[in-house]
Amino acid sequence: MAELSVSIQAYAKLLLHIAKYPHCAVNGVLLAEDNKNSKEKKVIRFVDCIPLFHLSLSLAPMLEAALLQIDSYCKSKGYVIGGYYHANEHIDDNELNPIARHIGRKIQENFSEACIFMVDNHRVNSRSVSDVYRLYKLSDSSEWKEVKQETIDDQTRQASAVLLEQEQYRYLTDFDNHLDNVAHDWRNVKLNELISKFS
Amino acid sequence: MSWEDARDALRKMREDQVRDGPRVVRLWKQILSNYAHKLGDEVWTVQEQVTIGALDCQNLDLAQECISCLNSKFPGSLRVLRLKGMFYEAEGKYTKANECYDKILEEDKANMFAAKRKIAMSKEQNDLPEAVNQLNKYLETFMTDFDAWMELCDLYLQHQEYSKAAFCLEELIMSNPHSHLYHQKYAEIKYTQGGMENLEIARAYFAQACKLNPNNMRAQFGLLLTSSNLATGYNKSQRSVNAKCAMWAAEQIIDKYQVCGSQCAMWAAEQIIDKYQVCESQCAMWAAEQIIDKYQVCESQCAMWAAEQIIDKYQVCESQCAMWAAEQIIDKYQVCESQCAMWAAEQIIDKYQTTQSQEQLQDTKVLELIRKMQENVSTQHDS
Repeated sequence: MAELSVSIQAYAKLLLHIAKYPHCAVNGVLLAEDNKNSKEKKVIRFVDCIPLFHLSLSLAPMLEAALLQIDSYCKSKGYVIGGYYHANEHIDDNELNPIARHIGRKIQENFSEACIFMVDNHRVNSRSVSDVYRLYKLSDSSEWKEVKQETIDDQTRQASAVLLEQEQYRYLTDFDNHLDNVAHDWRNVKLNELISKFS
Repeated sequence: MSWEDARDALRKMREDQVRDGPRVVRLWKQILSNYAHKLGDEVWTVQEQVTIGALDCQNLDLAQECISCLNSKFPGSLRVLRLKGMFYEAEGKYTKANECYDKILEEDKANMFAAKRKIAMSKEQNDLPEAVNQLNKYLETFMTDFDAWMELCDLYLQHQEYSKAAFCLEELIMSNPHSHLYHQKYAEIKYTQGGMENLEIARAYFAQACKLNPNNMRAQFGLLLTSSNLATGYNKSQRSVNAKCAMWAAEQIIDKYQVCGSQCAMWAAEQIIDKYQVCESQCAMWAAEQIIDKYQVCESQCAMWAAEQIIDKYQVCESQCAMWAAEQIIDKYQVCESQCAMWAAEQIIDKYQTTQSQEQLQDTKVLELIRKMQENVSTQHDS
């Protein structure tokens, strides 16, 4: 069973995206280091997160356009789309969503260790002591099974809490924001720089 | 921030229907509440806005304060009663909230707000099927409420009932045939449903959305994707029509992207060239030319990459096309950097050498290119 770790950049952006739209369902992808060629397959590192949508998550065309762009971005950086996160609209609805299953399966076809990060809406605050999501992996029987694993360290948790309190989510751009105004950068380069100061 | 700026910010949020509870509460508490007397009659609208904002962040004390203020100014008002209902909703006291809304509907049967709050309560209690039922009933009476139709569409989409969602959007398009957003969303639903017929419908609606608003990026991307998908699955005449659509869409996208990230532009360019390989190399050529033109303005490295793609693709079809294409490239490049021109020429000669035999090297065109290359080298030495 491969060990998973999520970098501060990925976790912080994920948390900020969820916090930016508390009244909507949101989703996004996580990028992992592509270690197809390396011998070390024991640790999967999720190094970045690209927030996708907060409107109409179940529609295909924009998702395809986004994934195509992210794919070529990944190739240029040596990453691969390795995970998908999803937060449901209702605070008590923390079940694995059919859309999440569908997209997760598509990602799994390209990356065998793909995970779904299903957000638990009750944990989206700066005082939470556990990961904001539950991990799911595709088992041999083609069912998504929960995997209990700690993916972040205390430093990441604390830094993300600080960013949340500072309302840094106002400066986060997801793909929907990008489609509304192409000048907004879905790679969130400036936010990445800010986050790197915490690590 | 001055109180006028705060007031203007709140106005803009009302106009744009932005939902940002924390910001509204902050603007009121930190600035505007001390200048409430300067707002005149606007203060009541602002209080209503602050109430709703406060309820959104569970700041029930502030909400209660505002409701009391509004109640003393407008006793017996149905509008204030609705806010009281929303307050009970925020506390989770759904029965009491229901009583408030029933009272409103008793006095005013056509009160849309109370009817919609009741539907919202079903959503709050995570009872989506009930919300859908209630919304359908509501729309039987208030069939011109466009927001309600959109909400119903979104509820159907959550359950992946695409045909029902499409029906809602059809109603909206019938009443608002000039709205690019409705056309675009309808096209997205059709695309998601899949199948050749739906893709054709999707392409038509994306095209209409682009026509109504050329700045609608979703419609542009949609047009590019649908045309590209259709271009690969058809007979030759349909393919070239779709190829042209894809081309136009991609051009628009590249235009928009030139201002920002050339990486997106590169991706768009890749798509075009790929799609064109399938239909006609001449289209691909023209497309590539357009791309290089655009790229000349931003980065010659992108232009180089684009040129590489072209030459690669052309090797497969016709070396004569390749020659012509390469010539065009070199022409363009002479304007920017002779280094690129040299590189381009090198590529051509390499490829040419592998395809044609030695005698062909005597071909005047190749000689011409070699001459140009030598010229560039000498100009470089001179400068």
